[in-house]
Amino acid sequence: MRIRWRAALVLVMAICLPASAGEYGTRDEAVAMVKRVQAKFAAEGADATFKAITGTDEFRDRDLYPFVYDVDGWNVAHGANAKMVGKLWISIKDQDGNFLIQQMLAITRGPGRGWVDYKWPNPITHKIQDKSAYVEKLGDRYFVGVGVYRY
Amino acid sequence: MSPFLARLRWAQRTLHDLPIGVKTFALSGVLLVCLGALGAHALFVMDSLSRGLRELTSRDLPKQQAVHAIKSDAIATHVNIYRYVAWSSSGVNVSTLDSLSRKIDAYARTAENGLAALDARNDLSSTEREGVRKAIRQWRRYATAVSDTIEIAGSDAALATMMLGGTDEDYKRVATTLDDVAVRVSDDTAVATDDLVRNSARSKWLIAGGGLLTLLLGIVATVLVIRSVVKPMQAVTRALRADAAGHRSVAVELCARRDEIGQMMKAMMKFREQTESDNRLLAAREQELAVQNARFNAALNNMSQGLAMFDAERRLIVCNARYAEIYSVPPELTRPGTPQLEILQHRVTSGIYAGGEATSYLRSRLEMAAAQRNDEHVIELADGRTIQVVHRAMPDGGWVSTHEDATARAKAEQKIAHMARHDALTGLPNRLLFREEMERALANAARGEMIAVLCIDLDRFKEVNDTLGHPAGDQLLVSAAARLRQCVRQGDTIARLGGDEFAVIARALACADDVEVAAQRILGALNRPFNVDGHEAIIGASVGIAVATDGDIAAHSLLRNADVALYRAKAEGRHTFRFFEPEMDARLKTRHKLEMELRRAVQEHEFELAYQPIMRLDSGRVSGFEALIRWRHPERGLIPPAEFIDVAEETGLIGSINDWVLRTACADAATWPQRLRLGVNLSPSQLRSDAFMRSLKNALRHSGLDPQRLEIEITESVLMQDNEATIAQLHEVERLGVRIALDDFGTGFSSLSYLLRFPFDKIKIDRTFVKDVGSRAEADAIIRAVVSLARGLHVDITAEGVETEMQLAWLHAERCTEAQGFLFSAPRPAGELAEVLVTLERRNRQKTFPRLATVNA
Repeated sequence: MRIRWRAALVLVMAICLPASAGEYGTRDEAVAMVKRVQAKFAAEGADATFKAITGTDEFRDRDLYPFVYDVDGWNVAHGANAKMVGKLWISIKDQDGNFLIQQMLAITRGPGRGWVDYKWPNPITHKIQDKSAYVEKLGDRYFVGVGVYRY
Repeated sequence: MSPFLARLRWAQRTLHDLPIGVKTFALSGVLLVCLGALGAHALFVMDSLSRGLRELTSRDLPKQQAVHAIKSDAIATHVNIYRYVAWSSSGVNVSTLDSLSRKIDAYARTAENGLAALDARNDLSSTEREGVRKAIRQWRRYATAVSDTIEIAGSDAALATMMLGGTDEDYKRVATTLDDVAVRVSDDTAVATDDLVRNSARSKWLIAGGGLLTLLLGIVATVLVIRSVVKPMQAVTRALRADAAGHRSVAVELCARRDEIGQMMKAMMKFREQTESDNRLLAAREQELAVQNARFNAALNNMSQGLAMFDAERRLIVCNARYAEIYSVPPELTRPGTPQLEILQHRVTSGIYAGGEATSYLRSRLEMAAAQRNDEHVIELADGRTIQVVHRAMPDGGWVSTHEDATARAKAEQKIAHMARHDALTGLPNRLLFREEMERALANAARGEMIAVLCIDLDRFKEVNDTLGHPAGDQLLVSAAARLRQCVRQGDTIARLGGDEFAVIARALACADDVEVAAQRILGALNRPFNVDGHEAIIGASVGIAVATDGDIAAHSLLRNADVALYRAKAEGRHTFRFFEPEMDARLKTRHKLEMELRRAVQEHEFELAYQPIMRLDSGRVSGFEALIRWRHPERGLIPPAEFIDVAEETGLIGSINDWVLRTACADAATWPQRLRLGVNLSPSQLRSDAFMRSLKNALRHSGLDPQRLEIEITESVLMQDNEATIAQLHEVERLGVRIALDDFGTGFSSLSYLLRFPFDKIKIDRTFVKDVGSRAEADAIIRAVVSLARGLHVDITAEGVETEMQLAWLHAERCTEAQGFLFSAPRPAGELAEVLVTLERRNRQKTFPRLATVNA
C-alpha cells in the first residue's frame, strides 16, 4: 500500500512539473475535473468512468481527485483511496459533527450541484484538513465530487 | 302451608322413604366426588406451579443471561474498535493490529451468534422477538461499520478515526435495542413469577374450602347413616325382643317404612304369622292323630286277623287282642317291649306249638326276622288249628306279621285240591292227575322201565244209561271202578277219564305178556254181570293198550295210541283188547284227513246228486227217481257215499249234507212230471235230530214239491234204535204226507217185528238178495216171502240192483211191484232225466214188457 502511495506521489510530481501550475489544485480545477468526469460518464458509461477514477491516474491532479457515491451513500468510485469503494458512508461525520455525505446528497438531490465544506484526510499530507468539495449529480443514481484542501 | 313448605315436606318424606342402600350409595358417591375433585385440583395446582417454575428456570432466566452476554460482547467489540483505530494511527506494529483485529472479529461473531441463538428460541414473546430481530439488523450494520473501519484504518487512520463517529452511532442503536430486549425479558419473568404466586395463593384457599366441605359432608353422611340404619336397627331389636317376650307390640311405624327396615319388618311379621298358623295346624294335626289313633286301636282290636308288630330289636311294638287270643298269650306278654323270644318260648312251653323240635322252630323264626325277609307260611297248632302267617319286613328293620286262623280254609283247600285231581263219583284220579302220573311213569320209562297205558271203555254203558237212567249209570260206574281197583297191582294207577272211559297205567312190567295178563284180568272182571238197581246187566268192555319201553314218547301220544287201539278193539267186535300198532295210527290219520276234506266239501259244495229211475213193473213206466249223493272230490274224483257217510255221521256233518240233499232233490223233483216220485235216503242219526224236521219242511216249502211225491228211505238200523222218540218222529214225517220206505231190507238184524212198529209205505229189497235171484233157491224163497209179506201189509215192494233181463223177468213173475238197477239206467245227473224217461218208457213199451208178458203167460 505504502509502495503504491509512493508511486502515486512520484506520478503526481511528474504530472505537476510539466504543467508548471500551483502546488495545490484550485476550486476551478476541481469544477473542471467534475465536468471531465461528467463528460466521460456521458461518453463511456458508468463502469468505465468508475474504473478510470479508482484504478487510473486519469482524474488525478496534485491533491485533486474525484469521488462518486450513489444516492444511498455507498461509495462506487474514489480517486484517492480504492478501499473506500463498496462501503456505505452515509453515517460518516467530521470532527465538527458534519454528516458530510448526507449534506452532499441533500445538495445533489436538491439544486443538483454545489459546494460543501468539511474536514477530510489529505492523501498527500495524511492529515485531516479543511476541505471544500464541489458535488454534482451524476446520472440518475449517483453524484460526483472533487474537493480542494484549504491550507 | 305455603307451597314451598309443602314441597319441602314432600322432599323430606321421599328422602325418608328411600332405601338405605340408595342413601348411603348417594352419600358416599358425593363424598367420593368431592374428594376426587379436591385431589384433582391439588394435582392441577401442583402441576401448574411446577410448570411455571420450570418455565422460569428453563426459559426466562436463560433469555436474560443470553441478552447480557450479547451486551457484554457488543461492549467488548466496541471498546476494541476504538482501541484498534487509536493503535493504527499511532503506528503500532502490524501483527499486534492483526491480533486485535481477530479479537474484534471474534467478539463480533460471538455477539452475532448469540443474537441468532436468541432469535432461534421458540419461547420468545412477540415483542421480544421484534426487539431481537431489530437488534440483529442493527448489529449487522454495526458489524459492517466495524469491519469497514478496520479495513480503512490500515490505509488511512485519519479516515478510520472519522468513521468511528458513525460506528459509535451504530453501536448506540444496538445497545439501546439490546437494553430494551433485556427489559422485556425481565418483565416477562416478573409477570410469570407473579402469576405463580397468585395462582398458588388462590389454590390454597380452594383446597382448604373443598376439604372443609368434604368434612362437613362426611359428618352429614355419618349422621344420616346413624339415623337411618343404626336407630331403626335398635328399634327393630327392641321390637323383636318384645315380640320374643310375648308382647305383640311391634311398632307399626317400622312396618310402614318403605326402606329395607320396613321390608325386613314385613318379612318378620309374615314369618311370625306363618309360624303361628303352622302352630295352629300342628295342634289340629295332633288332635286328628289322636282321633286316628283311637280309630286305629279300635280297628286293630276288632280285626279278625291277629296282628303283631316288632321292632328291629325284636321287641313287641303292638299286638292286638286277636293275636293274644290265637296263641293264648298272657296279658303280661302283650305289653310293648316284650322280647319276641319270650312270646315264642311261651308258645312252646304252653304246648300250643305242635310242630317238630321247638328250638329249631324258634331259630327259624328268629332267622326270618333277622334276614328281613317277607314270608308267608302256615303253622299247625297242637289243637289242630292251622294258622296262616304273613310276615312282612318293615323298612326300619322291624316286621309286622298277621295271623289268621285258616283251619276251615285249609280243609276246604285240601278238598278242592283233591277234587281238582279226582273224579267225584268214583273217587278215582281224573284225567289231570292221570296225566301227571303218566309223566312220572314216563320218567321212569326213560330209566328203562317198561310201562303200559290201558284205555278201557264199557261196551254197553250207554244202553244202561238210556234204559235205566243216569243214577243207574252212575251206580254201574262206581261198581266198575271198584272192580278195576281189584284188578290192578300195587303201584299201578287207575283213573276215570270221563264218561264210561277208564284208564290204567301199568308200571314195572317185565314183558308185554304182563300187560296182556292185566288186560285179560280187566276184561274178565268187567264181563261179569253187574247188579244194577236190581237188574242184572252184562256190560262187557273193550281195552286198548299202548306200551312204552323208553321215555321218548310224550304222555299225550301214549294216551292217544291207547285210544286208537281201543277204537280198534271196539271196531273189531268189542269185549276184547288190542295193542296199539303204528298202522292203526295211519288209518286213523286217513280218516282224519277225510274228515277235514269233508268239512271243506260241505263248505265248497262239492256234492252233487244223481238220480236212478224206479220202474213200475205192471205198467212198465217210470214211477220215480231215487236221489243218490256223489262227492266230486277235486283230486280223487267222484267218491261214492259209502266211503264218507260214516265219517259224516260221526262228525255231525251229516246234518248239513242231508239238508243240502233234501233241498236240491226237492227243487229238482218239482220240475218233473207230477206222477214221478222222489226217493231220498236218510241216515239213522239224522232222524232223531230236531234239525231234520226243520230242514224237511223248508225243502218242501221252498221247492213247492207235493209231499206225497217225496219218499224218505230209512234203513233197518233206524228201527234198531227202538225208541219211542224215533217212532214219534216218523209219525210226524208221515203226517206231513211224506211217504216212508224201509231201505236195504234183509241186511241188518231185521226182524219182521220192525214192520209192525211202523206203517211203512214201501219196502225195498236189498240188492244182495236180488243178485242171487234165479240162481239160489234161498234167495228166491226170501224174496217170495218178502213180496207176499208186503202184499199182505199192502205196501209197495221195490227190488234194488236189478241188472239182468232174467232177474227182471223173475221179479215181474213174482209180482214185485217196482224195480231199479243198472238194467234200466245207472244213476244220472238231473239234466239227463228227461232223456232217460223217454228212452225207458219207449223201450219198455216196445220190448221189455211184451216179453215179460210172455213169461207171465
